[in-house]
Amino acid sequence: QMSTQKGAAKDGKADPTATNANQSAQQNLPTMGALEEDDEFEEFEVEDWNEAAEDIDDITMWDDNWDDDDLEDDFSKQLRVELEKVSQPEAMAVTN
Amino acid sequence: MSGESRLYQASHKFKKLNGQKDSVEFAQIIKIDSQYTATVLRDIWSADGNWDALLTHQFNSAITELSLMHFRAAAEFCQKRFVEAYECQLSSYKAFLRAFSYMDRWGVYPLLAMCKDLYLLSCRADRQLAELGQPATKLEEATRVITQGFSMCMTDREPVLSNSRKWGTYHLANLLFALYLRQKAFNMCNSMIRGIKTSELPALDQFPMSDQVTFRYYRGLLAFQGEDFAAAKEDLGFALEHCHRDAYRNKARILMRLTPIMMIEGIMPQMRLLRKYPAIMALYGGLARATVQGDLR
Repeated sequence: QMSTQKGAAKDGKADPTATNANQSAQQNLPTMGALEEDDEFEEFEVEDWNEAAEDIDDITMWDDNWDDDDLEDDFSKQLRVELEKVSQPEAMAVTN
Repeated sequence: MSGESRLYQASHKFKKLNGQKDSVEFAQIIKIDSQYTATVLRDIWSADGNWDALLTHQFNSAITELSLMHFRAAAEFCQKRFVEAYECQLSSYKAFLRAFSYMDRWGVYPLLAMCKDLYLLSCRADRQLAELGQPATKLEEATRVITQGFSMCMTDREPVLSNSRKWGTYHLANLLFALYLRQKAFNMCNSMIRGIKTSELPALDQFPMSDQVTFRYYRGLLAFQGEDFAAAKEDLGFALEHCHRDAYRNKARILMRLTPIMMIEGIMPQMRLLRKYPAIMALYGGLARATVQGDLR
């Protein structure tokens, strides 16, 4: 299961089962909740968009230069800290 | 007004929208959980105190049949009779396909709406059948009929391209990927990809970005399964680059496959990427660290 962290992009995707039906109608209808399998892509909220709606960051946050020893040590240390956090029970906080 | 009159009034609305080729409203009201559907059912129940009006079958046209079976599906769904709801939705959908053969591009949105409901109901029906110890075959059946709708889009002979049902092809293909993958039918995915490639469709980059990103995600995922990492990287890279910025979970899905491909080439995710996607950190953090430390070089 994915957790979100402070600073991470908030998922603006609306609940796919939400309708604009009024409350009484909703009481009568069980939700059409999709059985979410991890690989199944969710419907986008909009059908079409341009570069302004895209996030250039994710495709650029990669490093292919690993010759620098300091960089390697730094990354390695940071990663160990992060991984230890994840494996501690207290770190598995309930997220929204 | 009796329940039966209310029902026929509702089916006339579908006829009217069909006559007007009102793609958006037709697609809205044909949803099982639409406000309009809930209102009609409420009115029938208020008038009659039962669902008997839904059981009369007088179909003088495909549109009448699709609308009456739609309301019956919704009523079954309200009662959590998912197998019955699915069967009614299937009848409604088959009637729709008959009408769809006379529709041009406007019919694509209603088709998509019906296919998505058919898919969801087939899963619910199968769950219910499994609970009853019966064979769960509805998803498989739904896949077959949705594929018919897909073919009707892809092979449309409408001469005016802007009116063509072809514009629904990729969106339906993307729905079928989900159905096929749920059944682990990788071969069906690959033959669909091949079928699309050999068809006379406009180029993928002419379609809405949602279609492009989704299709390339699935094609990339399949290339990854088939260990064609170069092809996977190209598709998944595109998908990541052009994915809508708000679709966090979809971006994480892309990264789930893209990350190992990049790492195989010695390209490591930066710490800020890993922090942004904790699931990626959890899955690949250890491997990244080992690689960086030279343990796997």
